[in-house]
Amino acid sequence: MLSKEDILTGWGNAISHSSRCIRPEKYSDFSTVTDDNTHTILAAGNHLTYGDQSISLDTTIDCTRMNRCLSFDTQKGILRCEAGITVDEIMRITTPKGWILPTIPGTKYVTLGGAFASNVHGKNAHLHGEFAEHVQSIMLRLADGSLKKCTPKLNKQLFWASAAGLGLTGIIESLTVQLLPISSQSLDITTTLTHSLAQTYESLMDDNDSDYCVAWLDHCNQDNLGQGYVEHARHIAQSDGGMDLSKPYTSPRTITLPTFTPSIALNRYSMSLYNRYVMAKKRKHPHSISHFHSFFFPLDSLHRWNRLYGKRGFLQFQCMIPHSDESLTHLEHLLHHPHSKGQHSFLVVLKKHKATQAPLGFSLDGISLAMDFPNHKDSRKLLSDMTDYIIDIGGKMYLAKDSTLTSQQFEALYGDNLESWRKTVQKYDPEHRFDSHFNQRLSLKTPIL
Amino acid sequence: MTAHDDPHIFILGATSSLAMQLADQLAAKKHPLILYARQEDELKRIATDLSIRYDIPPPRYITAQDDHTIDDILQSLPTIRECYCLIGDMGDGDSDDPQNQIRVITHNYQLPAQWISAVAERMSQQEGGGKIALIASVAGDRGRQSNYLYGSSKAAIATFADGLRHRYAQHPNAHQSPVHVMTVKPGYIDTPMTYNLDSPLKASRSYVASHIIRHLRQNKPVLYTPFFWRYIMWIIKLIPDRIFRKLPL
Repeated sequence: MLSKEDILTGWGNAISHSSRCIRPEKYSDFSTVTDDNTHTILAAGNHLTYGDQSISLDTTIDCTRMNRCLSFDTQKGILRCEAGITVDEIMRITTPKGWILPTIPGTKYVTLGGAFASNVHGKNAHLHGEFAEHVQSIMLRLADGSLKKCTPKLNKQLFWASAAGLGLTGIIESLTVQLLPISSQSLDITTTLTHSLAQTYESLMDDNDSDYCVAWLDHCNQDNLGQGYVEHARHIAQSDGGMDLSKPYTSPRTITLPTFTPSIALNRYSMSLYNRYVMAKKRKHPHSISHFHSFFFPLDSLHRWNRLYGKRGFLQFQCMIPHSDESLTHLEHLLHHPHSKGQHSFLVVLKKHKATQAPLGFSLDGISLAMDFPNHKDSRKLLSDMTDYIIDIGGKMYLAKDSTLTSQQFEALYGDNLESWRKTVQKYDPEHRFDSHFNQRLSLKTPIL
Repeated sequence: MTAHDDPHIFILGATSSLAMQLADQLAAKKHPLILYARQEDELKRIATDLSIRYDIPPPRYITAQDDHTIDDILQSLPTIRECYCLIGDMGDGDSDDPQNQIRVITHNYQLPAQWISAVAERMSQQEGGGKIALIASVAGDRGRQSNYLYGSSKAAIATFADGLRHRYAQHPNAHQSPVHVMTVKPGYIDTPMTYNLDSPLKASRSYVASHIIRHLRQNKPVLYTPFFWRYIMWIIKLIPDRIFRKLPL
């Protein structure tokens, strides 16, 4: 297999490193990548983690061409695929047969292996948890070259260590997923405009029969920080106006941003205008029946939207606030604090979650808050301060989005689960053949002395 | 459901990177396919994937075996309406090494030539005739120091295909169905062969595959894909030797 040197970067474009890259296409090449033990390796998909999670210290394996479907039981909704297949490809295959992924991340370009290695969550995380909860088994290529089947019961330590394990336990070759049944391609969506954080929080926490819910806030509005809208959506039957499953699944037209825009183009004023435009649109359509594509992947309509932040890139702060009487207070602090430092987030999203089993998993019974900031020294300091706040309240940070954590902060956040995770990893990869810049930065595998 | 003896599309060298994309696009349009290659496991992987992805019966696949002749295989096939021949070798290694030379000439010239002759003959005897796309390369248009073994083998098979096209275009009679042979000359395509080549001229497999399918059906004689390679190679061929010999191509 030919190799090349490439500069790899995460979705945030804030961290980049040079890496040797290889891209197997045949299973005979893919299954023997561990044979050459002169290189440390890491399997990667579409590099949609935000920081340096998918950049190997030495050789990064581009698995995107290992994307074959291996079996599909259309009666039981059990799909087995190679790890490089994307959520988009899966949706095209399973939708006509009346099945959908139970956990759908915010972009359809995530690979199946990446979805497991980051343990992604969707807008139904409070009902269906994170991605690994729906994975029946994975085939994992280990450091010694052997192929191990891992399930929640068989080799379960290794299974749960690999979920949210960011590729550090081995190479995920294929996965078997239990899908969710659907009877149409549409969702019934109710949008509630909210005028205060308390109202947003209450609407989000409303225990109705919706399948999905998410809150978007306008952080660029100086006067009222909690203003925004909450969407509740549920699957509907064809008889209730839902689009027929057999109709071709066509995604809406996408525009690709061809190049980086000057970073000054995206600022508090332009985003404030954009937010007002979006809210006006939502006000006009408080209730709609739409194809699920626009609800699940709203940002995918502008391909490469990360280029709007310019070459410096951006940072995401995605934290988990455990449910308590203080939840609203914590949210208020996290929204006000950036303002007090003169900073504004161009995207603020709130979701509900339930706790995950994965040791490095993000979800607790709580609420997640995601905020995007342009990458510069002040915002890095801001994120560090906000992370310390999360550590103090017993929350979590989502590792797949991180670009700024230190190893000390990581120990403080995940300390309780780290010993067992490290023991599992040490057993199966004693020589650290699987390594990434992320692991080096946070010292995941080895405790800091 | 496709009847077993409906006209099929035959893909030779079906485990090559471009062939997989051709098979993908043809399967998406529900064409019945027959895949031929050396690696059985890969063929099975491709066939299973296509059947799940496009909700079709799994395409038939045939593994190359030493004791099966081309005629044995062709006799077992139903009517072949189109044939895409991608049998080939990337031409790794030293152009002067005799073992490499035998390998490259066998896989890039001898085997494809034997196959497309036999398939063309068969198509001429079947009702409706057929069309063949033979994948050569722009590398065959002029010998250069970096890959003259690969380039010359591709030049050879391209000229063979041109001759075959000419033969079957001559005086079709009542006993012979029409056969068209298209010589395809791709430039750089995003496959394992060019993985470490950083060039804005690299084309996607999906573009090249759809280009080939479309133009085969339009009976194009020689297809440069993407189109601009026709003009690049025209210029390269025009360069006088006294200048060309100094270029580090």
